[in-house]
Amino acid sequence: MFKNYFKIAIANLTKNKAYSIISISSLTIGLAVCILLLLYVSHELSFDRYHEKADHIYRLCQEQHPYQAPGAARLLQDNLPEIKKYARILPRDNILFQFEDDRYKEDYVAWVDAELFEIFSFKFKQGSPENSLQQPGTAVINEKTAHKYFGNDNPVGKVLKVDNENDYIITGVIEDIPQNSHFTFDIFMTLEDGGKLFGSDWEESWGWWNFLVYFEMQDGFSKPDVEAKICKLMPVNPNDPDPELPKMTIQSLKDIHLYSAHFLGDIQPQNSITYVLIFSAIGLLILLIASFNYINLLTANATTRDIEIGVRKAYGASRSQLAMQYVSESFVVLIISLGLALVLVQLFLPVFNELSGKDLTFSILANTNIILGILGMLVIVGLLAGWYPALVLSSYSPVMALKSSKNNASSKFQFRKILVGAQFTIVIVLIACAIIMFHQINYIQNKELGFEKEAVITSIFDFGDEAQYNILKQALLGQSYVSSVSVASRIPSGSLSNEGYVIPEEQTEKISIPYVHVTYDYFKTLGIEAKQGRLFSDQIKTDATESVILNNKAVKLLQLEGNPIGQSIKCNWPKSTRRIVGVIEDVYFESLYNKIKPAVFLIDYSMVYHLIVKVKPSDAIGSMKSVTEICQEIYPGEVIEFTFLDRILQSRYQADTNTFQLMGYFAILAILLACIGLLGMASFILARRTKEIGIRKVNGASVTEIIQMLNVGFAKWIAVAFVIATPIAWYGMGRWLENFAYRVTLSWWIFALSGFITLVIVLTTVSFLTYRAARRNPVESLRYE
Amino acid sequence: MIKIEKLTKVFSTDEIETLALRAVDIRVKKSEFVAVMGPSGCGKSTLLNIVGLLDNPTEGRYSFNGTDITYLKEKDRTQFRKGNIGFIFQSFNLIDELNVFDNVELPLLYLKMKATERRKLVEDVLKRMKISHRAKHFPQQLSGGQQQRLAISRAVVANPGLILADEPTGNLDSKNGIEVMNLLSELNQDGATIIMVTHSDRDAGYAHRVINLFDGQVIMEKVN
Repeated sequence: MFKNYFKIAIANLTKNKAYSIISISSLTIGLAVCILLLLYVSHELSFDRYHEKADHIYRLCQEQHPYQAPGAARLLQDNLPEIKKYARILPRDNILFQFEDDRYKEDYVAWVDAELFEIFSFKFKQGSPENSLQQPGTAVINEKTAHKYFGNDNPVGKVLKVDNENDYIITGVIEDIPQNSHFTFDIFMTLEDGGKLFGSDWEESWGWWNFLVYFEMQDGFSKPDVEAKICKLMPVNPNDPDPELPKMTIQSLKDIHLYSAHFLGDIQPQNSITYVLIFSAIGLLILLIASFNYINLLTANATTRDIEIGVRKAYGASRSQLAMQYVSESFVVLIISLGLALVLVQLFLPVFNELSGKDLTFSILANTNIILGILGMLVIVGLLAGWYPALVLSSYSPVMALKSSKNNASSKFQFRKILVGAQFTIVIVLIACAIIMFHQINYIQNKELGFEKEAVITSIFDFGDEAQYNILKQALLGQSYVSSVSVASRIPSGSLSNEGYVIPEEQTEKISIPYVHVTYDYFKTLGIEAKQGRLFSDQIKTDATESVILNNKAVKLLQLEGNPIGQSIKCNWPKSTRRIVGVIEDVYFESLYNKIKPAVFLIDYSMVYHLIVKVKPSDAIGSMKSVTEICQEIYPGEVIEFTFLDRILQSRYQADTNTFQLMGYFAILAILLACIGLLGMASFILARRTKEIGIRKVNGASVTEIIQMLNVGFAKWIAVAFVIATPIAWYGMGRWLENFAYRVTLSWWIFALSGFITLVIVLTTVSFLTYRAARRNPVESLRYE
Repeated sequence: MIKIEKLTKVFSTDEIETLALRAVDIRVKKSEFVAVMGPSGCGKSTLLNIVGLLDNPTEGRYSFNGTDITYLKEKDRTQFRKGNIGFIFQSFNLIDELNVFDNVELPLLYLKMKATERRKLVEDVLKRMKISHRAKHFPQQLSGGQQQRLAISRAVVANPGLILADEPTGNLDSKNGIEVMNLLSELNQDGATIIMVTHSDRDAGYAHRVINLFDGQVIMEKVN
C-alpha cells in the first residue's frame, strides 16, 4: 500500500512540476531558516548548563549590576548556612603579560578564588582543581593562551610576569571555556595574595564594587529567604540615620545569560531572552508561511486529483486511508525539502554567524535536542501540511469527486484565502518590525550625543606620574595632526559608575552622584562646550583643587537655586570644597539604553586611566599609528593599543544592529516565500477565472479593467492582513523599544508604509500573471468550453 | 454594414498549419439576418470570431460601417466591440458567480453607464425576455432555456447594432429552441443585424439568407 502511495506521490510531484518546485523550494527555505534559528536558540539556551553543579550555582547581584565589594562573599558565607562555597572573580582587561621575550596585552583576565574550579566544572588538561590557585602567585591558563606563550612546551611550572612586576607560576591548563558560557577568561590568577596587589585591608573596602560573587548553595534552600537575609546582612553606612536596605538578589547560573538585560553592566555582554523569543517567533512564522504555501498549492492542485480520489473511494478506500495517503505524500515532500534544507544551512551558516555575531557550527546538529527539534518540526509541518488536504479531499463523496464539482472548490477556496491572508499578516508584521528597528538603530547612530566622537582615539595604559604624562602630552601636541590631548577616569561610552557624594552649600544632606575625574583639555578633546561659566583651564591654578563642573542634570539634582556658577559644594572624592565654575549640557555619556545621569567633573590626576587624543579627521588611521608610536617611545614598558571612540560606541549597539540585520534578511525571506506562494495561488485563481475573464472581455472589458478587477481582489486580502498585523507589530515593537531610554515614536506612517510595501510587492507579483491572463484572446478561453 | 474581402485565417501550432478560412468574401447589410451553415470544422466559428473582433484574420480585409477594422490592436478591438456587438454562445458562457441581473448588467458596466440607467435597461430586457422573476437567481439555478434567454438578454441589453450567435439553440430542446429563435427574429425585426452560426435547418429557416461554408470556403449562398 505504501509503495502505491509513494508511486502516486512521486508521480504527482513530477506531473505538476511548477507546483512541486514551489512547494519544495518554499519548504526548503522555511526549514533551512528554522534549522538555523533552532541552532541559534538552542545555543542561547544552553549557556552555562554544562557545569555539573549548574542547578546549585547562584550569582550575588545588586539591584542594577552584579558587582560586589570583596568582603561581601565571606560575610554572607559566615552567616548563611545555605551557602556551601563561594568564589569571587575580579575581571580585568588590558593586562600586560610577559614570558621571556613574548609580551602581550590580555583582555580576558581574572583574579579569582581557588574555589572557582570546585564550583564550576572547567576541564583541566593539566593540573587539577584541588591543586590550582590555592597558593599565592599561582595562575591557571587555557589551552589557547598556553599555546600562544609556550607553543608545544608544557606550561606547568613556567612563570608569567604580570604588568612588569608580579610573577605568577602556572599550575594548571584548562580547556578553552566553551562559547556558551557567560564569561570566558583566558587567564585566572589567584586572589590568595590579594593583599600584595591591592593593599593589606583590601577585603575591607566596602565601596570597591568590582567583584563577581558566585555561590554553591545547599540543596533545597529558599531563594526568597536567602535574599531577605542577604539584604539584612549587607553593611550600611553607619552614619546614615535612616539607612535604606540594599536590594540584593541571587541569580541562578542558568538565568545569567538571558535574564540580565536589566543590569547596566555585566562581566561580558549577555544576550536577552527578548531576542531569543524574537528569533523563535520569526522561525516559527517563516515555517508557517512555507507550510501554508504547501497546503495552498496542494489543495489548489487537488481539483485535478478529484478523479483519482473518486476512483479510490469507489474501490473501497476508507477516509482514513486516503488521509493517510496525503499525510505520507506530504512527508515525501518534506523529506526531500529537509535534505535540501540541510545543504542550505551548511552553505549559509558562515553568513548567519557573521550576522548574528555567533560562531555556530554545523556539528551542533549532532545534538540529541536539535535532532529531536528537527524531527518535531517535521512531524508538525507534515501533519499540518498533510492534515488539511487529507481531511478535505478525503471527505468528498465519490460521485461528487468524479463529477469534479465546482462547489467543492469554492469552499476550499475560502480556507486558502485565510491562509494567504495569514501569510500576508506575517509579512506585514515582519516588514513593520524591520522598518521600526531600522528607524531606531538609525536614530541611535545619528543621534547628536553632545560630544564629538569622530577622530577621537583612546587607549588605556599606565601613564606614570603627572610629570611623565605632561611629557607625553607635549610630545603629542607638538604633532600637526594632534589637536588636543587629555586623560580621565571615565570617557563617553563608559559607564558612570564611580559614585561619590556631594553636599551643596547651605544643604546638609549627602547626595550621591557619579564622579568623573579629568585633567585639563578633557572637554576640548571631546568637543564639549560650557553652557554656563567656563571649562577648566591650566592658566587658573585653583582649578585643580577648588573647581568643579556639573552637567545640567546635576544642577537639577542638587537643586541649586539661582545661578549655579560660583556656588560651592562639598565633595568626597577627593575630600574638598569646590566652587562651580561651569555647567555643561547633558551629553549622552553612557549608551542610549540608559537615561542621562547627573555627573560632577573635577580635576584629579590620581584617578585617571583613559587617554583620549583628538586627531586630524582626514587621516585618522595614520594619525593613530603615529600617536601609538610616540606613546610607545615614551612608555617603552607598556603595550599600547588605540581604538576609535566612535567604534567603541558603535559596539554598544552591536547586538541590536545584528538583530536588525537578521530581521531584515528574514523579512525579505518571508516576503520571498509569501510571493512564491502567492504566484502559485494567483495562477490557480486565474485558471479558475479564465472563462469569466473571457466573458467579460467579450462583453467589452478592456485589459486594464480586467487587471484592475483581479488586483482589487488581491488588494482586499492585504487590507485585511494589514488590519490584523498593525496591532501585533505595534505591541511587539513597543516592547522592544522599551529597552531604549531614548527611542523613536511608533508613528502611523511606519505601519502605512509596511502595508503599502506589501501591497506593491503583491500587486507587482500578481500583475505579471493578471496581465497575461487579461491579454489572452477571449476566444482561447471560451473555445473549448 | 459588414464587408469582408478575401479573408484568410491560418492557425499555426508547432507542427501543423491549419487553414480555417480561405479567401472568404461576405457582405451583410444592415438589419439583415444571416445564417452560416456547414459541417464541423468548416470555419464557421472562426468566421464569427473574426466578425465579432474576438480574433484577427491572417489576411484579407474587414470593414464595418465603412471603417476598416481588419488589424486593430487588442485595445482598440475592445473599444470597438463595446456597445456595437452582442454575443450569444451555444454554451451560454454565463458567469456562475454573478446572479441574473449582474450577468445582464455586465456590458453596461463597461460602457460606464450610470447605475439608475443600467437598472432600467436591465429590467426592461429581463421583462422582455420573460425572466425578470429570476433576477436574483444564479445561472446554475436556471433551466437551459432560461439560461439562453439570459445570455440573449446580456447580448442585447446595450442595444448593439450587430448580434452574433454561435449555435444559440445547440444545447436546447426543440421547444426552448423555437422560443429562442422567435426572440432572435423579434430582435431582427426591431432593427438588429444578426449573424448566426447553426447546424439546424429549422433555425436557418428564420434567416433571410443562408451562407454555406465548407473547408474554409463559401460554397453556396441562398436567399430564403
